[in-house]
Amino acid sequence: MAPPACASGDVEACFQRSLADGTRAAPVAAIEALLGVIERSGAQTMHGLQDELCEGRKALVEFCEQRPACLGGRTELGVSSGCELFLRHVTRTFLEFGDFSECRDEILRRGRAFAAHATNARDDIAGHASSFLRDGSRVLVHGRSRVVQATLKAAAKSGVSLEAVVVNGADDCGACVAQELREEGITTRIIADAAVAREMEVIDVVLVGAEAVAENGGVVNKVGTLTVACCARAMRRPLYVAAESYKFARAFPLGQRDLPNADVDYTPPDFIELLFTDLGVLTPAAVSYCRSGCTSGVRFVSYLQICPW
Amino acid sequence: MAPAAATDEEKAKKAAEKARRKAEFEAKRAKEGNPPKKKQLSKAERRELQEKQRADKEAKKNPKPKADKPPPPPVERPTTILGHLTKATSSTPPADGVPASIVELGQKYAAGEFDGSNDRCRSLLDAVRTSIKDYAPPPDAAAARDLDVKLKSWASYLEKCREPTASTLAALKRLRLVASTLPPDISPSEAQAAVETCCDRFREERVELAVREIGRRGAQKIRDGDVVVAYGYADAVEALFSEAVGRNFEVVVVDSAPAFAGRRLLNALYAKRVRTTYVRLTAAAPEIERATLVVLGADAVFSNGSILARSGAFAVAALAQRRHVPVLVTCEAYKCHDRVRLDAADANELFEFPSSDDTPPLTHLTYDVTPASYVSAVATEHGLLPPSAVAALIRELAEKETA
Repeated sequence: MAPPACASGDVEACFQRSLADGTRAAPVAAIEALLGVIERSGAQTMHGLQDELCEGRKALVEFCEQRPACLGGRTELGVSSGCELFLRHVTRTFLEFGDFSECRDEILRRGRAFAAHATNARDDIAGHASSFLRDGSRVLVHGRSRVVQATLKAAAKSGVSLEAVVVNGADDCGACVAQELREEGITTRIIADAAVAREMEVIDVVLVGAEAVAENGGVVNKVGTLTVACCARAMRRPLYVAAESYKFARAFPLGQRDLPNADVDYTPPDFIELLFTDLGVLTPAAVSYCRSGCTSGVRFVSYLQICPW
Repeated sequence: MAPAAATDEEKAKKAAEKARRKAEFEAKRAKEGNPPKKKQLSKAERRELQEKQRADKEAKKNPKPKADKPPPPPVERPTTILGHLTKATSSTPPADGVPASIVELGQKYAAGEFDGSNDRCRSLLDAVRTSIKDYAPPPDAAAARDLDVKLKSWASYLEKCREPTASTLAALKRLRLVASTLPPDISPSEAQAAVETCCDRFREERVELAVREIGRRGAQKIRDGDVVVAYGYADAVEALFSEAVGRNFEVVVVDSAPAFAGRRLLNALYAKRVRTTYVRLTAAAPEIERATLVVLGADAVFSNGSILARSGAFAVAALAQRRHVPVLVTCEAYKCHDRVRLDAADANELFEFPSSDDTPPLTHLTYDVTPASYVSAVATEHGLLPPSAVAALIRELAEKETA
């Protein structure tokens, strides 16, 4: 799907328009909004353009902190890490190109390519995860990650028969998720969040998304993820995280103390078996290699193409 | 040899002699009566005789048991389990061809000065900087080549005075790299300038800047209401608390013999009016249990993520782990050492307590190794890393060095 025209209007309006159809991830919409800023910008120097982009990012993050409806209950973490990634990319492009207008065109080109790639990220992730979802397995799902839903739908389409067990909390979002999965023909059951431990005996795989992936491979996700992770660990069930690589944030929480708000919790890396990302299947330790690879331009990524059989 | 021919006379004499002896013998026998015939023994008696003879034979075979020797006196042996380790303070080796400031530094090292890793490195760089001023290559040698050889000899002299730390090894490695990549036709004064610049840059970038940057990044991890436990002293830990001054937090300084390095941190915090408690390691458990964060300094971080720090750091980390208190280890990137260490026994420094005739000799291991699993994050000037990522950082830095 082509990105909506962002030539006019301020950055928040642009952002909301991108999210209107409900398919785009918030970080991608934020990057498209920043591309709109570049298109509208009258700056003649790189420094000026960078200042405008920083302003745009700040505006978007502040907007998201107010929890607008378009975010669907998510926090500003994904938007913040997506914007930061884009800005780092812009700075690197500045270093490559001497001429300002050439540079600007290149940034726009790369940014649009990135947005297009990002929409395919979910399909890539679904492909990686499919080998880990065996026929007849029972999958516990927490949160309303669209990546997780796309993964389960792809598996169902490819003929794997799954049963989804969806955790429903006080905000009733589990009911929406269950509804969407049923529409795809996946057998779905809803359980209360208090019943997760009781249910874990019959679960084969736990699958969650992430709002942000920390530098050490831990994830920040909807509150309740750590509870599910603790139960999974106690009952020795694997916990898999499905997350796009633009959610890799420059954050290293030392515990729940370092989180910005109470709507999310932090699951440390030793609770997580594997992360399914568009870069491949990664162990939590490989995430920090990914990060250093991204910043220095050298790829240290230790891909782990695990065969689960 | 028998005579060739015996004369008839001699033969006759011999025969007569023989006959006479025979007659004598027979007469004797007749007088005594024939000796009694051997008694016919019964089977049992024969058996008994046989056993007796056998026993006598056995007794003859076995040597007589010797008299018991007194037990050997107990030999005074030193504990061999740490026998491979060197003592921190030892006599200084002879110095030939080594400049005076290096010799002086070596004496200070041997006497126990410049104990901390950063101080050790700073003092080394100062001494090298001073020594290089008087540097003059021999007339037949090129400056660059000779300089590398000189640096190597100074390094090995200092190693004889005291076991090198990761910090001094890194500094000398950098100096030698710079010296060995100087153009071969460089003049001595240019070579001196290059070494001086290297010393200054290394100190400013890898030590001082790193300490400030770690302090800045680490301070971001201190939240309002935190109870932070610190062990001993480290420059970066002091910098961390200095950055966080003004926020609402409390520090517990844990300290131990023989160095009592924590007192230095305590004084620094007191001067900044930070709320501080001071406890000995033996009484630290309840304090660590109520802590919300533990901050440790390090003398080195290894490729497998394990930490070399002063003895007692492992104990603090282990107590913290019991209660899932996050452990943050501050370590400047230049101390990241490309080795794998599993425990503290294979290489360490022994500290000997001063002893007298009345007290038994007491030794103490200066360093201990904390495994990676006890560490939540390593704070370097490049950012916070999980211990598993230290190997990648070492590789990245090595690539930058040679680039």
